[in-house]
Amino acid sequence: MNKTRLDDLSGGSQATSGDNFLQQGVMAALAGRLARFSGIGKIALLCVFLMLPLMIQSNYAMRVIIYICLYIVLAMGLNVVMGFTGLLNIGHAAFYATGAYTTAILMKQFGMSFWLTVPAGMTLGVVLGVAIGLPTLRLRDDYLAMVTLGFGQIVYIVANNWMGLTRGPRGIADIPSPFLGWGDWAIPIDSYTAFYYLIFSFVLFTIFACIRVRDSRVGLAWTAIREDEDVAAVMGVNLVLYKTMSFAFSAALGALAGSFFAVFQHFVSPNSFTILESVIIITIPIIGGLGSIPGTIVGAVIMIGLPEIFRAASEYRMVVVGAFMVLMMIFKPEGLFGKKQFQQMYKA
Amino acid sequence: MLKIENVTTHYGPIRALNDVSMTVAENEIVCLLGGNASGKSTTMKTILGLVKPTSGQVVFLGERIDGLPTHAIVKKGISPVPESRRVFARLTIRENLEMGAFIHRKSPDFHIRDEMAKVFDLFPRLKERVAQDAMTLSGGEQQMLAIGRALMAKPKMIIMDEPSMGLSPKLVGEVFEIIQQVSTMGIPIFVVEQNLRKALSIADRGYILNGGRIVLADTAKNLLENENVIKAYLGE
Repeated sequence: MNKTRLDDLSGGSQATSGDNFLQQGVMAALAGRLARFSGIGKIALLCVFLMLPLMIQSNYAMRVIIYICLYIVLAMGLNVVMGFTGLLNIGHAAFYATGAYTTAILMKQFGMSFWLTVPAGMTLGVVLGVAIGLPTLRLRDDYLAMVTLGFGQIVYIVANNWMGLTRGPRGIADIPSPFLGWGDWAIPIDSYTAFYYLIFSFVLFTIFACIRVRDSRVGLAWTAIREDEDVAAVMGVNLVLYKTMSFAFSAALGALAGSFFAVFQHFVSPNSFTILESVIIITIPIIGGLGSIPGTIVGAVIMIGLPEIFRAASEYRMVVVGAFMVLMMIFKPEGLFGKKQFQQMYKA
Repeated sequence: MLKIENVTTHYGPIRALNDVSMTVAENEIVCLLGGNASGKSTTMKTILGLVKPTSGQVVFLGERIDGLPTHAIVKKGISPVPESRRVFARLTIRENLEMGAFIHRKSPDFHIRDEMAKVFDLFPRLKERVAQDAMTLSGGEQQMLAIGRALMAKPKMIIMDEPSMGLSPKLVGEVFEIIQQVSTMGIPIFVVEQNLRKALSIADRGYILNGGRIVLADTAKNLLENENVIKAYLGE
């Protein structure tokens, strides 16, 4: 039996070498270009972001930019679970709250350094992620979504009612600013510029961690689970273990964002971690394109930045944002940078 | 090599397999034939641990594997080609093949490039498209990819669920030629099929399943000549 014969098997698809503009859409191809951006280009981009506080004088604008960065960290964490692994989590704010309260309580009650509360919060996030993941990640789709919804509510209710620990609805106020350095050399992080650099370093860490994990064996197993979990299982992937790992990774990033939120606001209360918060975080990777790292970043800029730009339209701004989302779902359901689904490709 | 002994499998109260026994020996192509709802896919799922048998046992290389989780079973060297191919649609061909070798991710003496080169020797078409998403492939190419993915695991045995499903008659013929070629590499193959004549033409032995029971077990040659049985159980 010769090889040309085997080649006949292909039937009729055309090889699409190189240019897949038509297949995946302009934005996805653009994302590809961006990823292949030269080293110099990346450094230039980094310099622009590092100089941002010098260029922007307005405190209000800096505050919006800091919030965008905060939501990038949150949404990137959720993107690991929803975009890479394909599990719907409607309770991401629970991990966000975990980080925020860990930092708030440890700094306020125990006078711990911020830098120690960050790993503490992330560890607690991982513990909670595993605790919620191990028993429930056998569930599929809608059932898992229900569980995560419930988990988000549980954390909110605990924060609202455990007066001794969280002071309930009154919240924890006067959380001290973090310091960089020791003793006489300690620089307080209390200006918008300083907070911007802090959250920017968290964003860089998050992007780095997400890219590394995505390109690893673990990331490959996650995407295989997303595509077809039964087949992933028969390829030797331990589904519960890998889904739990995905949850834990996501939880750690959520808690990281929470720790920053606590010191930035100097105040945490349960109201910041309602289901609405989870819903806002969910929309970011969906708008940007599930599974896409540049997409998630752009999604955060749109979802957090856009309502602020439309602030002039006051109460109509949420209508504008809502209309934008509806149009997105009609014309680009895979998100700005997302990969089209199989069915979508052949509907056209 | 693979021995299924008196296996009975239930889905809730419904008995899908009833006292099924069969074997696959080294260097053999064995096919399991039957119509719809005869229990073919349940047999596959039972071997892979996707459903647990209520009684009986599955033994692979002298070791009981029923009761083990799926990922542990495939690690023993059983590599599946699932029904209707089921490649990972939005992963590239390279990533699909890497997933095939997933069980070897921690073995230092496993060289993924060498294995991939072997697969590309067999299917040069895949090499041309290595960076394309699997969903851009035609049905026949996806079947090549699914078989290639199974080979990536360096399997001790391959089990296939209806490799002819959804392919044109010409492609079906070619898929079966590939199966024969894989078999000459010394890998025993267990094929579950509806396409009786095609399957028996390449197989060494066959089992006929009806209503969850094995009603006939014989060499492929004898089964092909047994027109009565074919009429009775497959309605041809």
